[in-house]
Amino acid sequence: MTNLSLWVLVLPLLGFIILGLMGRFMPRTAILTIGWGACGLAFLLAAVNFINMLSTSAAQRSNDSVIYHWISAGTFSLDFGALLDPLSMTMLLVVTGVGLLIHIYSAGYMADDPGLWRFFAYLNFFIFAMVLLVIADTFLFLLVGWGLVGLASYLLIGFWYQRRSAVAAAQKAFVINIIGDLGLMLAIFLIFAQSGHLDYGSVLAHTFSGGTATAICLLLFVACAAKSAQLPLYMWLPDAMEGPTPVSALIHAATMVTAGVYLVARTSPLFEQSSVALAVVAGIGGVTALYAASIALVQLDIKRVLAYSTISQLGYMFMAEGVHNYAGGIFHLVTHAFFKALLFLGAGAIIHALGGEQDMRKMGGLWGRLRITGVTFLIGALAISGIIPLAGFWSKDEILGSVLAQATASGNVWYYVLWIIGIVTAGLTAFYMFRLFFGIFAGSYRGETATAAEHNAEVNEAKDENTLVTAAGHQHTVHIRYSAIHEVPRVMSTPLIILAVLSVVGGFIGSLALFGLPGWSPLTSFLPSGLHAHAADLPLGLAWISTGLSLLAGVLGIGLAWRFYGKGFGYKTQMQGNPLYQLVFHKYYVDEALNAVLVTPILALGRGLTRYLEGDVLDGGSRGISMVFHGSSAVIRRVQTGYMRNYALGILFGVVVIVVYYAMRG
Amino acid sequence: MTFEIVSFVVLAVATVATAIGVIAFKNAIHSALSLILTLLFLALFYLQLQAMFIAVVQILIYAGAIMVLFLFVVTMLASDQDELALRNQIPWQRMVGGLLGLILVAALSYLLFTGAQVTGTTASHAESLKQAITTYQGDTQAFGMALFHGFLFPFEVTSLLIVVAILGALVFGRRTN
Amino acid sequence: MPLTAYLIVSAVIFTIGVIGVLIRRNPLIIFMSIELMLNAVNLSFVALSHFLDSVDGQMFVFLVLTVAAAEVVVGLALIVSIFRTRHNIDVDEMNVLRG
Repeated sequence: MTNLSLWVLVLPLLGFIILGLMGRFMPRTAILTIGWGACGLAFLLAAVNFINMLSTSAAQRSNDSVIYHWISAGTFSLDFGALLDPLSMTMLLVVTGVGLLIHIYSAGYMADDPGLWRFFAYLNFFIFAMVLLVIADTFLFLLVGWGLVGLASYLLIGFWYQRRSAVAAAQKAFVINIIGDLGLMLAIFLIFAQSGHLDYGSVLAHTFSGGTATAICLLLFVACAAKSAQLPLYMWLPDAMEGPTPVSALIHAATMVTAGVYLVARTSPLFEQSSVALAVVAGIGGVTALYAASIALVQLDIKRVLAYSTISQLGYMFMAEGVHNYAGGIFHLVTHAFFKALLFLGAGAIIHALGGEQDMRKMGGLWGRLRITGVTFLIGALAISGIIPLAGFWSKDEILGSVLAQATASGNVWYYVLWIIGIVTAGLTAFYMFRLFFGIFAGSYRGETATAAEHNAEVNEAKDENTLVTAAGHQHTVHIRYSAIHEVPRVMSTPLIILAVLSVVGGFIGSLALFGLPGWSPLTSFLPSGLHAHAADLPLGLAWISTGLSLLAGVLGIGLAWRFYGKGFGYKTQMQGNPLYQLVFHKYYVDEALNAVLVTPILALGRGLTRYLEGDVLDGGSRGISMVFHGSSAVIRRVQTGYMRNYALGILFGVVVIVVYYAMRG
Repeated sequence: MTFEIVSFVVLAVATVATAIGVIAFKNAIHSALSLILTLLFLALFYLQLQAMFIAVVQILIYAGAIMVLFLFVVTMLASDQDELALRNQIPWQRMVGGLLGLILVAALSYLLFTGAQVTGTTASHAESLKQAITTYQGDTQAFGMALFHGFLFPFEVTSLLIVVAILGALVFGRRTN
Repeated sequence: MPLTAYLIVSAVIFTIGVIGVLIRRNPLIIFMSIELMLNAVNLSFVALSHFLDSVDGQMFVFLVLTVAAAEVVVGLALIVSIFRTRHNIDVDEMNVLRG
């Protein structure tokens, strides 16, 4: 088991090293063999480990094997070990499994890109970093993995480094992630100062004093919020869509952004010590879910719709964790990985088929041309909308149920508000997803009608709106005639189909208590009991109410979307006069506000400091110091006469002093 | 006994006088000749101390080979350059140096007179020199036995040192253009 | 003669060498002064060897001799090459390192 888990980590790293060093000179097939092979073998090993784990009893499933003794100083020792327990195993399967599908898909999506080797090297590197994050058994190596996935994300967002916007987005993501890394680092310092340990086993068994526990958990949550794009650190994720679409699917939907959810689940014993921190987690999660869903309602770039949708769904996961149902959060993480990866890959297929077009206004009617993509996309949309019996229904239902259970158990009105937010968000989710679906597939194709003049007008408009700069402004999208649109190659459609199947059946790993099967809850019973033991129970009647309402909200959302967009997506210009629409369309002017509140003043401050402070005060200071040294050395350097005999005299003087000292001492 | 004292005093005076000559002569050739005399007198000292082999080596290598090299360089370089023709830029050096030298000699002599007298203890691992001389029938053979038994490694290292020195001399002496 | 007598002669010769290094500006004579110092040390080695009844001192003399030969070879080569470039061997002129 030890060796196997080590290879899960090492294989992608090997792939990265080989591709990174020699990929440039390799033929396409070699690159694919190594890239797919590294990830595929890692997945196979994880699967073998998983089957091994299933055959052991629940008590023996947590396996912490030390791989390398790193530091040992006095009573403090630090080892690098691999922790394989059901939680990390679940993550491992998702990371390597979805990762493998996306590796396969990328071969088609990136087929024409000269940087194919670089792309696969980065992908393997990401898998390595994510596996490290997941199987690390100390906070220190968690931090290493945490930083490395951030680096992988940076590299992949900025993959097309010739584009200014991609580079800027990569930097934005990196900077915001650094805030999170700082939070994690401070949390680790605090943990170490208070408990003297860094390994999970000791730290999670340690009881911190109330204030300390809250501080640690809040700092950890800062890290989670940055990595998982929660309020107020979410801004980087929509911009991260500048990266290639498979990257958006892998890193910015299925795996990396869920690292925060994983971390909260991993450190759940700490969060259980602080009700304040849990309330913050639940509140931020709920508000983020609603906030991001509302922005997603009006986006025109299909990838940005999905990006805000991801933020919103991550909010759901944190909502579940905030009400003690960590297993529910992980459950949604898994199903979300399936259907969001599916949706992103589907969007990628559409973009690929349309030659780079991402603007929903220039799509439509693609149902006739892209049948496989269309069907799988529909399955994904239904799954995320929480339509029974697809994956999203079960996990979302689980989350809403546990929020309602917490509300009834605690009697706190805010949990009812949270629950209502959850229901409303479910409706919004269904609406924006089917707005997207109808916009892409229903009605007639709008790509051909755009003439050159119109295109230019749109470019200008897009620049004004600051939204579709990528899609229309920089990318020089080729407008493809409707008849020229072809279904994507099999290498891309196969992952879509597999993910679609997973999106259909993935939910059945959750609890079926609602349908008279109280004993059936594979995931929950697989995961450590600590991840769900603290969650309140919900009476079956209330559970039905919650389920019914969320289902109703979903159906209502789809219905409204059908009502507005069923005949095809029309960009309603009259809406532009609506202030509410403008507010949401501009993402609540957060970027503008940030520019005004943060960026502009800091820049002004910097300019001011440069002009007034740096010139005379700081430089004056350093000049003064240099003057002191200059003056004193002008005096001292006279000693350095340059005459060798003089130096020899110095030596003799020293000798005489020593000898005379001994003579005097007698 | 008196002969030993007389010969020692004569040798000591002669050695010190020629040594002073080395640093006092203006002409470098005179200095070199004076140095050769010093080395010869030192060889006589070694004879007096019953170090036959060292005395012979001193004459052969030092007074012979090394000093020939010196004289060769001295005559090759401008020996006509008068050192005093150039202005001495640090005149106080001479006085301070002489003063410090006197203090050094005084302090060393004081230490030697008052310091612990050697009580004739031998280093434990080394065999007695006089015994070895009788065993091996002569100083040279005793020396050789010691050199190739206890001091083989340092001896080999000196050969390496000499090779490096030769290479260094070649590098410096080579004309590069 | 007692050991001290030999050692004092050695100390005197050594000091003469030191003074020579300090007051002369001809590098050749400085070299000769260094030889004087080495020989002064050799004298004390041989004297100690005699009075301690051990061959070790003579061994050191032998090694010092070898090192001195090597040093003279390199030193003279240096002087020759300096003279080639500067046509002047006054050590006081070699003051590039002056502060």
